[in-house]
Amino acid sequence: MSDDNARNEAPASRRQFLARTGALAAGGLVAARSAAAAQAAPAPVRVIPEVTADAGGRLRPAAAQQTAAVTRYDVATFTEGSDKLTLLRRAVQTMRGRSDSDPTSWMYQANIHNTFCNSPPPPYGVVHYSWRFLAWHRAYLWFFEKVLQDAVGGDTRLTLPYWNWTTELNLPATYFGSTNPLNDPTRQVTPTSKLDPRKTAISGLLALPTFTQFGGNASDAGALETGPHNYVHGWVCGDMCRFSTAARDPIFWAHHANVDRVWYLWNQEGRDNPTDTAWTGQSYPFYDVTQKKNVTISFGDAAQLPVTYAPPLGTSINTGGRKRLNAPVTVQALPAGTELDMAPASAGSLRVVAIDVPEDAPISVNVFSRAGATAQTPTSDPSFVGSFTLIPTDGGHGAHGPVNLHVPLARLAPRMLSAQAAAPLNLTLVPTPTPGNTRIGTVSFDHLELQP
Amino acid sequence: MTLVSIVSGAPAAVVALTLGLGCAAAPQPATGALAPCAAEAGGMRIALSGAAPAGARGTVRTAVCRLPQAALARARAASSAVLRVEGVRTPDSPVSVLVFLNDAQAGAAASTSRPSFAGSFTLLGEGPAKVNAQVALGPAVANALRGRGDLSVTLVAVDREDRPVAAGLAFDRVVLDLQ
Repeated sequence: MSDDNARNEAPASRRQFLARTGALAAGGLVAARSAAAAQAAPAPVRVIPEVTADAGGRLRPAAAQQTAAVTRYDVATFTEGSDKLTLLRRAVQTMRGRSDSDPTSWMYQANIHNTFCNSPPPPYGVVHYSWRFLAWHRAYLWFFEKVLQDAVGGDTRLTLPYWNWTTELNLPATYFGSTNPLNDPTRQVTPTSKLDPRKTAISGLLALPTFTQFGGNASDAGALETGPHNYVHGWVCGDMCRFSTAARDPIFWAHHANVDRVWYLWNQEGRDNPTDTAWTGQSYPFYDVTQKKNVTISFGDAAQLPVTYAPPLGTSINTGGRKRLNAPVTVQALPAGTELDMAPASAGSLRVVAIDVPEDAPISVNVFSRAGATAQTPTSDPSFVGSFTLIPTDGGHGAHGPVNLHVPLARLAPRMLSAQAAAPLNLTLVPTPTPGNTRIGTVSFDHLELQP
Repeated sequence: MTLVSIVSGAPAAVVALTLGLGCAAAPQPATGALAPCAAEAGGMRIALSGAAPAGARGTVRTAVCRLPQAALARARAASSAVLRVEGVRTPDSPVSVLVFLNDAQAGAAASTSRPSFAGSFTLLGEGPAKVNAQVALGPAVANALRGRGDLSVTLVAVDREDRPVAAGLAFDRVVLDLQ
């Protein structure tokens, strides 16, 4: 089906979804749970087959939960020719080829979003601009991911990628191309369009102490939703500009996986989700492909779905080609107003990629967080970040190829890694002799990366 | 929590109002002459100005007021400030609102590269008629209060290409939450 046709059929598809979830009754909409109860095989309230519940109704980390855990990866690792990207495209292509009335079709899944984003049937509330936002979308991703996997024969190597828009400012190139199933021709951005990193910064979000601020409450949207989430939707635009069509664009899923990852990171900081039963007890229906039927899941259970996120790839620092360390080298690590995607409490590192092991003499390299540092700049300088030393190997020429080194950034003030920094972050690598030596080893490196 | 209320707005995006004090280009009064911000909830909420009429639009700047000592200390130490904009009317197309602190010059041409930029929020062209949005300001409030005890907030409505939105974005009031 063409995209144009798909867009024109949204109302009908929404009706189909409600009918399938038992929410559409003769003459009007009624509560899904009530309608489901009237059916011969009502959907169970407990819906997640991979996890078990104890008597208190809480998920417990049983073996089943561990085996069902999902790990999602940076979309930047979905490179051309990779198995992950091939699987993702094949799954989306397969879903796009199915009838709109098929719960495992692309349009049906997209229309679930349409159903609950605007005037959902009672007893459901709108899943945007309140504390419903994060939990509902986590469940939505969970059940959609199962459909994706099912579309490629249940291959669980395929999990949703996340688009780390804090540092990856372009919509991934792998999502463009007229014959690419991940493409959406309605987008108003190109592969070279760039997000404003000051609007996608997350350090301020991760520092928020309460869920009300971060994820909202019954009447307020959280800062994550109205901040980066909405901004990225509006920036991509086209289908993404409207809640009713947003999930038709494949980038929606990578975008929301990243939104979910930010929530995951916020929890990793020790922040608590609501315990109010008015939140934990809210349930919404989804199609569970593993059971081949509609199910419901509560926000309390959705919040505990066993999803983890692999760290994003490092942010590459443009060094303008391979650099020889025979004099101080200064690079701009972060432009003003950008941030490294790392939690405030964590300590990232500077990765020196493919640096030679010297053959002639040892070398120590001091790293300073400013331009202008020299061999005379002491390590007591406030801008001193760390150092590393390389010594020649005994095997002579070619005995050891280039290596990668990590310099912890723990001494770098967190605010220097924050989007609030008004000045760019410059790093200077200063070669110095090791104690007792006058010569400095000859080395060069390929490039630098900031890693969370 | 600290509460900031925007009293009035301009129908066009190019005018930055300082409540009752004229446009943004007007010189700011000395801190000592400023009226204190109205504090609530034991100083956790501060109203920078009085009750706001519905429908403030475009580029809007709150009145400058002096933070009470307790709130000032709190604000200077805060790393998690949040700006809550209440009763925002959902626009027809995406609109972002840029937030600037203590910047009398922030106006229609203001960009996120200004040092006074503190955060932003965006509304899409669909959704409930009115929403309450929040903006994580990080340490921006603490930074804005270095060496001074007064605070103002300027909101600039822009489209998805950062061009000023002539029609602005209507809302009811703004709350600064320093909790």
